[in-house]
Amino acid sequence: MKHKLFCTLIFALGLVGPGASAQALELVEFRFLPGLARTPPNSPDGPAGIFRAAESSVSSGVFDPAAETLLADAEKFTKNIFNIPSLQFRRAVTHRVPTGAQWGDVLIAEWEFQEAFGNGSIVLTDTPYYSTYNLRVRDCHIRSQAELTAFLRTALVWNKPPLNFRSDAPQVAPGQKVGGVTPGAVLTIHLPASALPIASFSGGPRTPRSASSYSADFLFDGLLEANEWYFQFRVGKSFTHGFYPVPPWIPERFPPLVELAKSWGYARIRGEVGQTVKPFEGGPDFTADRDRILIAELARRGLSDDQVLALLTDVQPTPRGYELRLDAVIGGMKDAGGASFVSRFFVPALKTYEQIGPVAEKSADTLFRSAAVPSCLSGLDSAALETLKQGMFVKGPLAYLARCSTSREALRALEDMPSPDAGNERLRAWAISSIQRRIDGPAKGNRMAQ
Amino acid sequence: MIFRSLAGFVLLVTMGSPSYADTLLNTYGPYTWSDGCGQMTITVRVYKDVPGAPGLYKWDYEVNNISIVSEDPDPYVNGVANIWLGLPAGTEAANPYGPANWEATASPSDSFTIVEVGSLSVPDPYIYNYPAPIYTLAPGQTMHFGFTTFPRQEAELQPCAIDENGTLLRWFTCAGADQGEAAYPEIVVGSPGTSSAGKSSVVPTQSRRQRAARPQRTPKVIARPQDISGCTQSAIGPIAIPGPALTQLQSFHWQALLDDNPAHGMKALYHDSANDVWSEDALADEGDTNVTDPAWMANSTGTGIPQENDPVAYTGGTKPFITNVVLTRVDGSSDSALLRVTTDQGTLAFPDTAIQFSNGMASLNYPSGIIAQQTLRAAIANMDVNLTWSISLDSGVTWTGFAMTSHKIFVSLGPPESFGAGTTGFTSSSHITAARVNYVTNLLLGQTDADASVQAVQGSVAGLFGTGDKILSDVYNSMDPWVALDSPGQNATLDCLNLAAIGAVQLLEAGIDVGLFAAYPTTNGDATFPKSQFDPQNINQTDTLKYYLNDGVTRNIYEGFLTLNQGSQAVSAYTFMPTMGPLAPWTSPVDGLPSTTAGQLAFQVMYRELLNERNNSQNSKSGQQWWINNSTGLDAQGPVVFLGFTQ
Repeated sequence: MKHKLFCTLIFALGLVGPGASAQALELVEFRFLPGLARTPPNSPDGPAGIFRAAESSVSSGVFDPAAETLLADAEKFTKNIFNIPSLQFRRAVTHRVPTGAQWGDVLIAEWEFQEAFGNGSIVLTDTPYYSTYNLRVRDCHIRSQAELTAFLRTALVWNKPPLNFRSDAPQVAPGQKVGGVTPGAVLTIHLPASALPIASFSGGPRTPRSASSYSADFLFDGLLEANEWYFQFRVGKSFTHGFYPVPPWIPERFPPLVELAKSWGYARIRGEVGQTVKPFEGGPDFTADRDRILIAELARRGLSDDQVLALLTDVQPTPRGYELRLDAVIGGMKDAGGASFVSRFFVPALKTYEQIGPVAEKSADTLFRSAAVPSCLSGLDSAALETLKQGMFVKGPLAYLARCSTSREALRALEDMPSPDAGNERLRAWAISSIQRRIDGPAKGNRMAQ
Repeated sequence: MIFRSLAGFVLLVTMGSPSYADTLLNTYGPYTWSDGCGQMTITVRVYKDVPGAPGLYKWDYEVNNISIVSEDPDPYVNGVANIWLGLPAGTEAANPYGPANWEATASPSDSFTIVEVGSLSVPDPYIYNYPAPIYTLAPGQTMHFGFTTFPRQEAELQPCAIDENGTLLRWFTCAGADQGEAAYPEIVVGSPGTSSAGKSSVVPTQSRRQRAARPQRTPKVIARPQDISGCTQSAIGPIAIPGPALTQLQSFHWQALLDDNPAHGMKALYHDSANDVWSEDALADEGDTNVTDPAWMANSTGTGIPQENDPVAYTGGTKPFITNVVLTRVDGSSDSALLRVTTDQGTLAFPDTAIQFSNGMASLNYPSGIIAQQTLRAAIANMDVNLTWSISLDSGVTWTGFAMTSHKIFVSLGPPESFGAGTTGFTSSSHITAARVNYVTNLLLGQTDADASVQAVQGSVAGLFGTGDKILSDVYNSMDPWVALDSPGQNATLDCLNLAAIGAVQLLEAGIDVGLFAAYPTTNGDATFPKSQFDPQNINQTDTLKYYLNDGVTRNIYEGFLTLNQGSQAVSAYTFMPTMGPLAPWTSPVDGLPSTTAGQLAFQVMYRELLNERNNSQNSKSGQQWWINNSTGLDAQGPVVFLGFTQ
């Protein structure tokens, strides 16, 4: 067995946080957890067992040629996650999960590599919702924390998209103060309490990219078994933006839904709108992402006013249900080109939400905000004021007035309105100051504060 | 086609004539202008010691219309109704005047200072109700118009050449007039805004004109029909205009005084050299050009648009300081003088400062300079400051203005900071840019308090972005918060940390020291990092401690928040989803509670967030912590007590 040496230098960051003095910071922090037991050899739920299962799944089955582009881009993506220039494609299969939470088009691909940190295989199980890399690496010498750090430094592409750990952030210029995030480790590695030599670990970013699980995960485990290291890297699909030919979290990928829908009739597309895409328990709901594509196709073909309004209400009657559907309709009509949703449907949509009641509050918020950003749909002051007066929806009208109103009447109404809750009170204060500034005009607004 | 006088009744020619108290310096002309068949003369007189405008020069233009006639289809109309005088950019023309019932304006622009003297207009039914002048300078009539400037040299322009069609061969060093396309230093006599739209550029013969009934207007003058078929398209002739100022401001730099460090309090701002002006920069532009000394520099001609005029950011409580001032005098004199800089801002004033000319040049080199008499108020401001520069050569008895300059000055609460994203995946901001400081000082205009500023930013972020579970790259294909602020909306329903990051970058550039953190569910008092355990049921698997939102279904890993810092210490916390704050550090004893206020704030934020979810509970898991298996995504153990609820 070749004996690989890893650089044991702990790389350092030089960022200076608020009030902190410049100091070297470790890129990887280690935390010790009690309770780990060694996986029995050949255990099916250990990393080795999982790898063998992945390897088995790619060794049988067929590959759909429609997935060629996805495969090519998945390989590029893989090379941007892992620093493995020797990556050599071996085989790939595809299959379709027809039902259940994980429904959609699945790609499984295997590559081999020979790098300084070891030789081995990598199997990617690429679902519409998650990318799971299982690696088996021989001649990989990891025994200490320094060696594990060096391995991760070597094997991962740290400072380029998609990971962008920015461990190479430039030193702050003398005298320059930088606020924001207090510098810290990039990765946290959990080790068993009885540590050396290291034979297993798990880890992930010190600060996860998203408050939600799954969508922007970057989690990994490693376990040494019979002189082979088995690693698993679990990568959320947020990272595939800009790399993959298809948007994340859409079940249909080969062919992509945007193409597939073109071959469907109206009834089929309309029937598909609202099909639940919620692949993980406790995780995000991506139904609206898929609906947006379907609604865009419907909008390209032409939708009557009634059909559009029906789309808004044909959902689970929950705040989130109404809101996500509105997002999908606004986005879909935007993607289709033509008149924007708010310019055409603001008034009937608002009326619809008023009839639905408080459960549609978030939707009304989105509706007003969409009329205000990025540009103002004019003439809605009175609608916003009337809505505020009714008291059912608050945030949206405030957001609209804050961005768009130049009316003294609106200003007075906001000043006179009863104080809303804390969050909306901040919005109301912003609205008052913004409207006042627009009324005063740029000359007065630019005066030195007295 | 040349002098389109589109309506004409009465011409008043006596208004604006120079007062006899003025001291005549020079007379130029009369210049004869011709369009091939008609003529007018222009006489230019330059005065000093103008009553009501001490220290200024008056430029009086006497226009005598000898025989220039109209091409307007309205046969009742004749004469000259509008005069434009295009002066070199930067000429501080003021006090414009003209005949009564005419409007006289002087307007600076990037390319010219335009002096325009034109008749008041009404809709003319002969030209489809387009606005047409009421009064004209008819053949045989004379008028005066003019304006004042700082003392300037006189310049004489020669007539432009014209081609065989009578079209002016443009433009920049000659004088001519045509149908009204202004170009430097063109003199346009005519009325481009009132020329008969859609009409041929060839002068129609009088016989083609159709006489028709029209509304009666008084007073009324009926023009004599004339044969104008021999007129060319343009009229040309020489003219005198203001030249370079006798005293010229060449350059200066903005600095600041705070304690003993003159550089302290003034922040150099970046902008993008790809754009002509900094205000065209996107917020996401990091900029590639730093504002360096001098912040203001005249162009090579010594007049017009300055070569440099960069904005400056001061911290409230500091004193603006003008230094490295360079002046020149065209007469090459060596005088002792006093320099005065006045502003249009009531709270920004400078003392008169002695300066010595030597062979026509004077300078105030650092550390000498002109120090503001008051400190800037500690309030966020976004000012357009106009400075008027004067000198006195007689110890302050009389003053002569020589330059007016305009500046953008920002005032922040503290020194602006760029955003360090650490290793969170957000994009760090490497520079404090003019566009960003402009944006945030406008947003927070007048704020004197850091807490109120954070709350204002909470309000604006709530108005611009929706709340949800997306991260910036899901919407913008970028993790740069400034990219989101360049394009708010976009169905961006962002999570708590991403919204807080959008708030953080703005507050930092406004000089409000904030930190960006996440508070995590925890089994003890330390909520500063994600908690993990090896899964008790599944060998070699790990669990992460998460918490359920109010729906009892969705789990979150953390709650993002901002800390407001004072000195080196975080003093309060704010969240953006839900909107909360200021929150104080947790002080009750809890095992494992960090000694840092940032750590204590993290515990407080997690407590408040869990409480918020419980208060809006939809099932028994709402606001509860739970160990979640990282491999299976399933509940592993729970609920897990949050110690804040046991106090």
